[in-house]
Amino acid sequence: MLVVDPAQGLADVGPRIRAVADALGVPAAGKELTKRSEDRIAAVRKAIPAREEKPRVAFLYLRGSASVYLIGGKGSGATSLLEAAGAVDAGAESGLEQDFTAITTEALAKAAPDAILVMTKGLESVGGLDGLVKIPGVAQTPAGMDRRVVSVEDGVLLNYGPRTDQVLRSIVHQLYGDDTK
Amino acid sequence: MRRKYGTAWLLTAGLVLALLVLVPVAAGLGAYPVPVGDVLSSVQHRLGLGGGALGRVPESVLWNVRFPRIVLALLVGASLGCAGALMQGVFGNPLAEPGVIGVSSGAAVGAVAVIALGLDFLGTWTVSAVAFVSGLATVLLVYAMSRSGGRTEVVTLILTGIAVNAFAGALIGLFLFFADTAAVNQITFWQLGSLSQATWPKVLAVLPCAVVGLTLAPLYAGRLDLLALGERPARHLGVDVERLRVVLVLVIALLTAAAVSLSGIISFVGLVVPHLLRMAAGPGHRFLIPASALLGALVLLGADLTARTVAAPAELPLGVLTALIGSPFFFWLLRRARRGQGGWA
Repeated sequence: MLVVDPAQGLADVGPRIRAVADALGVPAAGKELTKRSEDRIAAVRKAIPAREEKPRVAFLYLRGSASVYLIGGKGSGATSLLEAAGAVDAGAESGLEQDFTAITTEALAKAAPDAILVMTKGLESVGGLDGLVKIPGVAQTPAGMDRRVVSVEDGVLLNYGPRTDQVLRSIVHQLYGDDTK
Repeated sequence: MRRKYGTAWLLTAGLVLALLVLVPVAAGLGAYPVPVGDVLSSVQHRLGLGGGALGRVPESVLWNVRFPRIVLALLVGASLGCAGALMQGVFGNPLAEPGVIGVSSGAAVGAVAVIALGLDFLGTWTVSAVAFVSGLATVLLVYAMSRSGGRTEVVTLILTGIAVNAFAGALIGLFLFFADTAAVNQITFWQLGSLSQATWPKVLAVLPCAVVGLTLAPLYAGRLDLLALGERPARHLGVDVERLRVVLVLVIALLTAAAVSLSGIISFVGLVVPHLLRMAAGPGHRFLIPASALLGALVLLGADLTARTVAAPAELPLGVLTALIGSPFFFWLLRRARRGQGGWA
């Protein structure tokens, strides 16, 4: 029986892979996979275009029209991904400690994120990109006005496993478009 | 009697005045600060009376986030308050509130079913539309089941309502049991009640129901006063009690279902608002019905203002807040009124 602590950030990728590999009795393969994963993540980070101002990204948890509207804070686990992608987590930055907080629509407008990170199913549940940018609060942010939305598959976003580099690459790509080297 | 009439006028004027003050204040306060002066200036601008438009973002926050929310709070509050006053009048029972005849729980079953089963045949409107229909249908069901021999007894109606409420609670529990985690989250939030997703289309959706209900309700004030004498005396005085009940139950259902379907469950307003007014200015329905609508609007606007500002940037659930603050206040008032009148039988 192996219980792995919930991942909080990119730094957990290596230890998590090793913990699983050790438990399976293949520590050498674990080391190899750790190195490969970390190298790949580093490669993605290298390719991020240099910018003067870091984009501020709000991680929103959306579910349908029934007013579930939560913003990710420090505990959401996305902060480290966003930082690796050269962005700032708008929720954590505004001092939210919990994983998710129900915020008022206006508070989001005030936070004025440049982009919004959502999970794919959440985005579908509000009617896709067109539905999202119409939600009160989102419509008033630079992200909503410019339709700058990053969506990642629900199960993949926060798993911090060997495929984290793909998640990171996808975020970087959606965030900066074709500027990526 | 003289004194009571004076109190009624004074209270009505006070309520209107309080609303006139609270609306601009609520429009100015929020996580995104817009000074009251700017609010007035922007309103003037839109009305073509001078003033000036604000920047793109504050203008949009004001007109697309805050105003729809304020208007929705006023409509929902007025609907709930008015429905509560009607309900207590129709059933001559101080415990009556729209929830008793199954509007809220019926609407909740509809909403919960939609969320748990992941239905979206009407897009983002599905939850509200189904909640409205199932709320109305539940009331009609309760009403039909409690009729016998062309008459409806109040006791039967209320007991039927209680049974249907219990059944609805069981259905909700069943849906919760089968729903996945995300749906459970969504259901929980819906049940806590909120106006945070207010938009102009939602205001327009609740507007016709609220207008019809709030216009019809005062027309029945006189007959409700007669009904307060008792069913038999009222009948002898020419009131068609059975018809009065049918019409008013429909009005109550319309008002409450429209409100609940858009805001989720907001407890307390419908029960307590009419009680407060009755304690202050007597039980005459000519005053009680319109004043309950006014006070309901005022209470909900104030509660929503608190919900979205007191813990900013976080938002408190509105339904929780109304009950949390309202219940102790009501208790205090109850004790006071009871002492003043030397106890009730």
